[in-house]
Amino acid sequence: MSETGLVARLEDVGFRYEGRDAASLRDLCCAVRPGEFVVLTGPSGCGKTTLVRCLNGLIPHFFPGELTGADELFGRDVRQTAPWKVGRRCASIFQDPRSQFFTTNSSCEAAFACENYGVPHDEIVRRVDAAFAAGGLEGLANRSVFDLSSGERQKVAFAGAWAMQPDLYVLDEPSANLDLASIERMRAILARLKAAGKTVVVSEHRLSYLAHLADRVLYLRDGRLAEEFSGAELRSLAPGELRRRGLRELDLGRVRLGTGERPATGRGMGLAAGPGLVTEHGPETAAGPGPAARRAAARPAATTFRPRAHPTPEPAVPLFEAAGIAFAPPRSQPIIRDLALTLRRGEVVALVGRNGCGKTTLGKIIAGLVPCRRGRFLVDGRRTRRRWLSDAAYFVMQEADFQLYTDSVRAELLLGREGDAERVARADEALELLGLAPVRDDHPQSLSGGQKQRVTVAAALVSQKPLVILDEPTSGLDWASMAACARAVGALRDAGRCALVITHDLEFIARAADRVLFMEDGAISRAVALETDADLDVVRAFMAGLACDEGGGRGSTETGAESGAAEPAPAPVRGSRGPVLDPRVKLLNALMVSTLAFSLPGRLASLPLLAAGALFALAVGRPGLAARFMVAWGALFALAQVVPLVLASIIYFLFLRAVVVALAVGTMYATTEMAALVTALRAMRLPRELVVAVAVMLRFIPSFQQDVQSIAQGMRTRAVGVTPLRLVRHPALVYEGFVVPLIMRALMTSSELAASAETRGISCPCPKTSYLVVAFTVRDLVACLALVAMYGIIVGVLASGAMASL
Amino acid sequence: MSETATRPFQMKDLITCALMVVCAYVIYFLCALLSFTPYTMVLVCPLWAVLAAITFFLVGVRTRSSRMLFVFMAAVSLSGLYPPNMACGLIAAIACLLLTRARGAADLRALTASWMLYAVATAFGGMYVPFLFFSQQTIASYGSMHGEAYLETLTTMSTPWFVAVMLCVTAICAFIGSLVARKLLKKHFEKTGVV
Repeated sequence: MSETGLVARLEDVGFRYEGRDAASLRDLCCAVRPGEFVVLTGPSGCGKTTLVRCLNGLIPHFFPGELTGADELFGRDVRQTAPWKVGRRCASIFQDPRSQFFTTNSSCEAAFACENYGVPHDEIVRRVDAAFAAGGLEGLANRSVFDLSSGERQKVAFAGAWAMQPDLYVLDEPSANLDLASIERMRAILARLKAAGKTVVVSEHRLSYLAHLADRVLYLRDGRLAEEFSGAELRSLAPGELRRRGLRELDLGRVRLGTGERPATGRGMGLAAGPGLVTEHGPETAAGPGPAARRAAARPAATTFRPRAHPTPEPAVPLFEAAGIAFAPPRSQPIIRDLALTLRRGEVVALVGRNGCGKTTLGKIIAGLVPCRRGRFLVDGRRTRRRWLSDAAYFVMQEADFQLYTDSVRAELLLGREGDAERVARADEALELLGLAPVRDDHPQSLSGGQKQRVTVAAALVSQKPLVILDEPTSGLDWASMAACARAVGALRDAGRCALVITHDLEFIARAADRVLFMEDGAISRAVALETDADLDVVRAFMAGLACDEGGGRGSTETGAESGAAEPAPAPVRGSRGPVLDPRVKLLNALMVSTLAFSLPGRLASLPLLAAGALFALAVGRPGLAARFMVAWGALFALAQVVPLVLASIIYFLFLRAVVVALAVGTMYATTEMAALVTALRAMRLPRELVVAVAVMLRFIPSFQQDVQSIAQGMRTRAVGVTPLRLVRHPALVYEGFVVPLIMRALMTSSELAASAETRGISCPCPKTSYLVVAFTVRDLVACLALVAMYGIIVGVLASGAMASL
Repeated sequence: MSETATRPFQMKDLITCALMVVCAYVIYFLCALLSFTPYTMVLVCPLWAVLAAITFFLVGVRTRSSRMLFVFMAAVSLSGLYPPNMACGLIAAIACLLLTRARGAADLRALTASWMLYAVATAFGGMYVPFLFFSQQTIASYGSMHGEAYLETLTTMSTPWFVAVMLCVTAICAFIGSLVARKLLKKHFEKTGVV
């Protein structure tokens, strides 16, 4: 601790990122005392994240720029202290759990920081066990990170922080990607930290779960410390005062459908006072006409965002009907069973349910992006095939990066149709409505997360598809941005379109929704029309029940969430790992097969390699895997007998050999913890850079597969999908539309991962220790010799031409 | 920072490099879909040289490290674990390391020359080594089951002249890829402040 007894001291601190004109922090003075629970809050762009980076040492070493003033952590100037040194005493937890994990196993991830700092093996094991136990997280130990939901990953991040036994915990918008149930569990963990006397600093928009934990609240605006409250003073702020500061509601029990309305001021938010209306929460006793009537009375005539003209039957015919929808992830239990729903023009429907119940999957099925096992769909009363649903429905993804392709916000809305005057008008209107006019010429990827999300909503407005599905459009948004999104969906309703909003945001529901659908046990269990506050109470009770339901949300439905927080993407279920062989043995097998597969002569050179690979798979206890690949090989071989010679040659010399390589690599992947492989490589005294690079690649190759899928879905919903016709007519646009989001995503991930790794000591020069014990036994040696002998015989036989007659 | 200046090794640069390798792999797997016929198979390397150049340029411009460029090239050469490809890729990576050290890892001309060299080297090692150095054995293995027409086509494709033409095509495509990469850098990545 410093001589002053402070954990952190900032005096007249200013910071300007390298390459930017404006400073992100100005003349900021604050101090953090031991054992305090400090909340940093303010509207988007106020400097919260920059201040967090000043506290965890990432500024100025990791994020270069001009730092002025005094910035001390534990009595030491941050300019003289590398992030890894700060990381010994300060644990950081970031917003996106997807990008901050370095390993693929939850226990190894929790041990990561300890390994980097050279904590002895036995001590690492003890600390990791204690960390999972302290948070009641034993069920999350030793699990694949791909099988965890966002909430579970955040808890694993806490376990990792706890294992380092730091003095200071710094969290940057930890609830941004979490649902109510996960937020409640995180609140419990934070309460434990506070009770244990730890110093905690949390940067947040959502204050409801922090209101009773905060000792002090620092309110920032435009990079300066504008106000400071005690926890009690924060809790006493009226809803109107919270809104004025751009803050979310502290007590969700106070959220109402609205008792008064006045135009948005957009002060300091860069938002124009558009045609939409903002509801201010007046005193609870205020009376007036019902919310629906007020909305109808105040609604401006909305012609700009009408759907494209197509024959519409009587208004009584629903826009969209679905019945009998069923869906199950690969090799997993169904998550949607016989679901039916109806959506009408001119309404906003909210879809709520616990994390992992299938909301996002349902949204993608309706948008025609994901095939379902069965289902009957009608659009405007006409039976519609699944693959044509994307003509009628537009899906706004939670991860905006997958749907941004161009180099300016305006170009993003026009997508090459600058000559279409009507579209240009719609785009300009959407920019005004969502407060994006000041950034119309900015690159979408340079915007903040909230602004990007608004761009994707604007693109939905501009499209003329009658049904728009939005997936958590307000996650991580401050109050003003949330209100802007509410205006946008209101504009969709006013234009006679339908918005289906997947959300956990009660404030947003209260502002925008006409009807709420509850999704439970794979079906729509109930629908509530929001006419009175009593109806909202029903919704509130349902969502509160989800938050209290500790036993719900487990099992096969709560699987990996690589693509977003509200809904984990389905992940393959892995079987048992079978007999244990050292990862290096399996790597040797994969390397040998990969080297030989495309080097050996002969049409059927892949056959003995297949036999060897299948034997190896049997030896490590994966007979099912061996059988599947043998069947695939057999099917390709049979195909080669009937197709023209040109194609047959490709099958023999490429595809059959590729199957063999895939079997070897698949065997390694299915039976080896990647963390164990990395540990084994480290034990071989390979250069640290090589080990880190291999670890990162192994960690993110599965994630990128999902990213590619998400990008393809995003392109399809925006009608810029990869089709043969588009490939021929617009190859450059297709390439740009695919590669730019993929690489932007990779760069963002690399930045976040590197920041997370730096704060956990990856650059610490001390010798690394290991949580896992990887021992090369006699059995492994015998296995290696057997592999070498086996493949040596195969090479000898093939080289001698014994199989040439085949 | 000037294009000729390089900065010391940072872990975040290694992570960036590793993820760009993954992106390059993704692009390669998509290009490899052309392998379904021998006539389109020869287009895989030139097409990859066009489409994947941006990943190489980003490593150079973002990390400003010749070492990271070397790591990128060496890692990408490992795809398929095919020894001739790995050997040629490694040789090219060493040459590029020297070139970018002299001119700067972010120098666009050095990056262009390096990418062209690397693309040609890996095309040579990955596709044409069997035909040039093991032509009799390779052709015999194909010819044992195919007809005269196919054998004739294959013989045409395996001549040094054809190989030289395809390598020139690959070099031209790598140059085009460099131009595309430079345009993308300016249009997107510089505008967002990523580089």
